[in-house]
Amino acid sequence: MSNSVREVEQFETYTDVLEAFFAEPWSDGLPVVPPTVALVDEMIAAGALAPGEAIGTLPGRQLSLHVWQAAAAAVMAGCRADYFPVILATWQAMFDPRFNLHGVFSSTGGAAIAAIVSGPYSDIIGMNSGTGVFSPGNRANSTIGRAIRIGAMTSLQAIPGELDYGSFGHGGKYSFHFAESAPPKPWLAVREQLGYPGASTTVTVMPAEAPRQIMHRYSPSAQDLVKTIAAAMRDPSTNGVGSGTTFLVVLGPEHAGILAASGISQRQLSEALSEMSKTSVSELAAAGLRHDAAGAHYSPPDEAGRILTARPEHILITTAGGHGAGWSTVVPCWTWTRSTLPCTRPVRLPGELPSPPLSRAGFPDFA
Amino acid sequence: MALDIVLPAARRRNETSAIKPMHSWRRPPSHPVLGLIDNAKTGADRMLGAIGKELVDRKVIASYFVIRKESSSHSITSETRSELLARAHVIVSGVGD
Repeated sequence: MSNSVREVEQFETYTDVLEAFFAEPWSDGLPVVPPTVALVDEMIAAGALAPGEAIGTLPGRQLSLHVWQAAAAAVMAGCRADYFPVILATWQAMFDPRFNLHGVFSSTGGAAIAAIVSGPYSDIIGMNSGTGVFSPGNRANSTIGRAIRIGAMTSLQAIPGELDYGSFGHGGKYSFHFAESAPPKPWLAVREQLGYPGASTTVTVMPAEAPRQIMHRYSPSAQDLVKTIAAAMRDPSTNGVGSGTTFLVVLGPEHAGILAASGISQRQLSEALSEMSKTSVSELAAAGLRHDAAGAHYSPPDEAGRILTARPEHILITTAGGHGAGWSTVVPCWTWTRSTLPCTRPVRLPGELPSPPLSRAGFPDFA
Repeated sequence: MALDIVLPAARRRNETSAIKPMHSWRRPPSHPVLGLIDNAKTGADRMLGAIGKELVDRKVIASYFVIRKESSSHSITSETRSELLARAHVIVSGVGD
């Protein structure tokens, strides 16, 4: 592919590097750490893949992302070397054909790459799963996601106005990686829900609209809480509502505790949210949206006149966020499951052999 | 002390100098056949049909045809690309909802 050769150039000062990189542009608009040969080599050594290996190719663009490019982007973003296995797993998940990376990067929908890191390695590298989980301040959360965006812009040309035609985009495009906190018993962590061993660490990626924070602190009723979450999912201005899409439901500690204590399982919660997040022709009309029976955007109504927003198996329940009052977050997927699915890959450390494919791991395809 | 820096991609000045027409061997006639790519968004067929008809009426093109993508969020398939190259002298695609 066209960008497989690693070139090294000498610069006199840090400022020279910075200005040259801004000019290309090889930056997300913020200053970058100069990717010196020594730092890039250290980053590569922390992963389990060879530097010249192509992690994936962008369909139709003849552009591949090689391990050394992912490492250079990680250095530029400010990552520690031990973050690199998470970055490689993220890229591997994003290059899964079901993720539709070209569509994710190019769509006017302006999706970010939301990534849940589930498993013990997130603690080892100090990722945040608690207070301010989607906020600035934690190096691992901030720079791992930034490394993905910088790699997309530098190596895959996902630059606004070039490949990236996102009309707006949102703050998550700077970084949207976070760690999962341990779910209340007997609930399962994301990696276990998707069929991976509990001792493993996985990265699950989803192209994401901006997250919607959910406030619910006036009722201890699990049923009321489910209604509130479903109401947020049903917002008719969300691209995937009424189309059959995917949602991440990130429950804060109080909400997860209320729901788990009520005896509801994660599967039952997904089923309830699927049912209660359905919309209708009249609800769409009330929001000024027309359900065009001949059009492709909306699913057809069922016998009761309800229109599917998300199937239970496409509502992923996870836990994160800080203690306090009662907040959760819903993250809508960029579009329907006919065009993209969340994808998962295990984190592989240097010296570890690749995991054998798990026949039932990951999100089910949407028939 | 100089810094040895890994360039994360090829410099753009090199890419620009390398750009050339994909099919310089194909000289379009004075009234070419136009291929239009419908991105499968609502109303795209009507808009592209109106543009094609207008260009025919103005005698800018001899004729036009429209190929609709299977999905708005996926690139055209290699089969579609082949069909476009076989039937059209000029191909127009775009971005829009």
